[in-house]
Amino acid sequence: MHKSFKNVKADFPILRVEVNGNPLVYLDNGATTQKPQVVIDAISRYYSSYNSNIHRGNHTLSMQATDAHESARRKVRDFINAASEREIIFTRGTTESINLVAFSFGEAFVQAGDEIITTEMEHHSNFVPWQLLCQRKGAHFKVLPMDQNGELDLAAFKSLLTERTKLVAVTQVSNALGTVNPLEKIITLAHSVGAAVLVDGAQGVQHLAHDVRGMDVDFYAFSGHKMYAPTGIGVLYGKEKWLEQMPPYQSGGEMIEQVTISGTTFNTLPFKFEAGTPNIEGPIGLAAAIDYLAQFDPTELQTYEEDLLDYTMERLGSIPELTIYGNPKNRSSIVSFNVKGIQHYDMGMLLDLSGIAVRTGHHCAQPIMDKFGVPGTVRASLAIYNTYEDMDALIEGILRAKKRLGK
Amino acid sequence: MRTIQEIQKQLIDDFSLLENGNEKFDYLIDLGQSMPELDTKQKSEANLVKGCQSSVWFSIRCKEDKLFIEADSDSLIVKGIAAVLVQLFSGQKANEILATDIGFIEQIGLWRQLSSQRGNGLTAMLTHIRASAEACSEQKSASKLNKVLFLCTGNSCRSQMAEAIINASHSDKWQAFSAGTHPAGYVHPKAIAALQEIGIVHQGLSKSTNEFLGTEFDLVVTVCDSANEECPLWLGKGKRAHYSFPDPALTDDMQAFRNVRDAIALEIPTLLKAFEEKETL
Repeated sequence: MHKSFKNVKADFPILRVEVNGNPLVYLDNGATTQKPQVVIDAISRYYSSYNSNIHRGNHTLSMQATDAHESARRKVRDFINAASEREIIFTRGTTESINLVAFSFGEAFVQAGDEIITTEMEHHSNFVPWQLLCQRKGAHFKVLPMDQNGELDLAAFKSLLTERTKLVAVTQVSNALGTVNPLEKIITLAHSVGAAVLVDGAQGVQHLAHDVRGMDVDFYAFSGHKMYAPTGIGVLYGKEKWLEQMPPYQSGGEMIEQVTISGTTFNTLPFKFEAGTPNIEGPIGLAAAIDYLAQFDPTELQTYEEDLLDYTMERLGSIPELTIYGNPKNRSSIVSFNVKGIQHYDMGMLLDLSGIAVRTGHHCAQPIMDKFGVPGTVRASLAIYNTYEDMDALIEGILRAKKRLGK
Repeated sequence: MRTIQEIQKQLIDDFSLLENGNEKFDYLIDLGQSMPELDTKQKSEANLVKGCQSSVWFSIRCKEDKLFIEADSDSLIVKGIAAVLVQLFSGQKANEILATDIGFIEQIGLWRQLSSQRGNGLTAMLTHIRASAEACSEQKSASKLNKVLFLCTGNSCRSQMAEAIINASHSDKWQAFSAGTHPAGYVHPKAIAALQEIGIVHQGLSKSTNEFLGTEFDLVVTVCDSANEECPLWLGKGKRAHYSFPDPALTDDMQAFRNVRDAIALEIPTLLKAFEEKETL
């Protein structure tokens, strides 16, 4: 089964390196994914044949670079099924995308006494910007709780929503637990009181459906580097009707139409939100990653990753004294666990000695760690190139660590 | 007690016997497991090292000029690293800990791996120990100074001048204070002027002896004119001595202030020297 995914590893040169004398087993994809050769080549080609600043010069290289940049924007538009490239804003990553909305949407639409709702399972990047916005504006910061299974409480969500709710910020997939949230229901409920919805797609875009018009989401934020593209490039999708009314986030450079001493008028979308010389190779690398993913059938890809995760969960579940955190009905690509008596840090170090890369710690989601009463967990997160052999290596690594620490 | 250098050499030798990363980790884990646990009181917020990925506590006592260190962590690997630092530094003099170049850690191998972990755990632990060593070494140097208190009634002229002169000329060995049984509430301007003539800028406050009752002095010197006035009696700790100087404020003559100033500068250092010699005997 899934024969076509067997050979994916070969597309990623880094997966051939050895770590501490063992072949690398990379299971820290929630932090960042590795890059296929085609992405590395696209960036290298940009620097070796048409590097130039964009939207400025009328010389050949500048026009080539501008074309590549804008063609990448259209590629992202189609990738997430946005209505227009005016709705695609390039940022540094998910965190900047969210901060942009927290600032600009906040300036335009949030007043004292209004409400912002986020959830207990958010990454700090989709939590703190809203907390700060509420402090700035005197708005109410409401946090939707989750249960011990790691699922959001939709009944509680209904009771939190009021006419004064301006925005709901929720993650597509929990970065610490892997929970897949019921976005359709959340978005419908939020829209019923006129609230906009921002979805943090950092852990979702590379694994699940990402059809922004299908979801009817108002804002969708994600990072290139978690979907096989380089670091430093992210995307903010926003419905044009919101973006048009929002003031700029930063100023200078490309985002300006005209400047006089008495005032400045701003460029049209999306450039209004892109101040300064942008990250040029980023969108080029991102476009190459989107092309790379296009060769796989999305349903097959999702099924492969789900089967691999099920297998991992089953094998982890067979290890005595191993606790998996959260038990959501829908889980994607991520599993967090601890073994009784072994600190997460020690487990991470010992796995690393076997060449297995996992994340340890609180995963920038301290409210979740508080919920489960642990300082941190070990997190394994999967990607398209992981295999059943990788997961066996993880299990053996855990068993070896247990033996070594006498647990 | 072996020196830090000797222990370092031993550690480098111990670790070099271990073939690979796996064995080195096992050794660290053994070290961690063999170190006793701290009790809950010692696992305080103040003893927690900030900047580590796992919780690690150092309970450090400063005795004389030496540091005595105990450590614990919820991570056995981190506890192993802490155990190495305890072996290296516990029982050593604070200033020697501060003078230690921890470059040897590179030679052990494996440390690069450990210290590059998020939060730079090893660096944070070393910073924590060094801060304690600094505090310990300061405490020692402060306590090395002898404390002398000059007493008279008003604490406006003679005792103020004595305090200023000793602090200006003998600060390597002495820390001087002054007080009066009935503080005048001001320092006499001519006393300040007389000090200024010999290059001493003095900004004293007239203080009551009550302020110093809890302070342990090595020496307490009454500097009033016992023949003509009632001298205060010091009931606190410390050796007592007496020197009679006439009260210059009685005449309000600038020359009288100069005379007392010069007499103090001549007589008091001799007294202090005699005290130092007796103390060292």
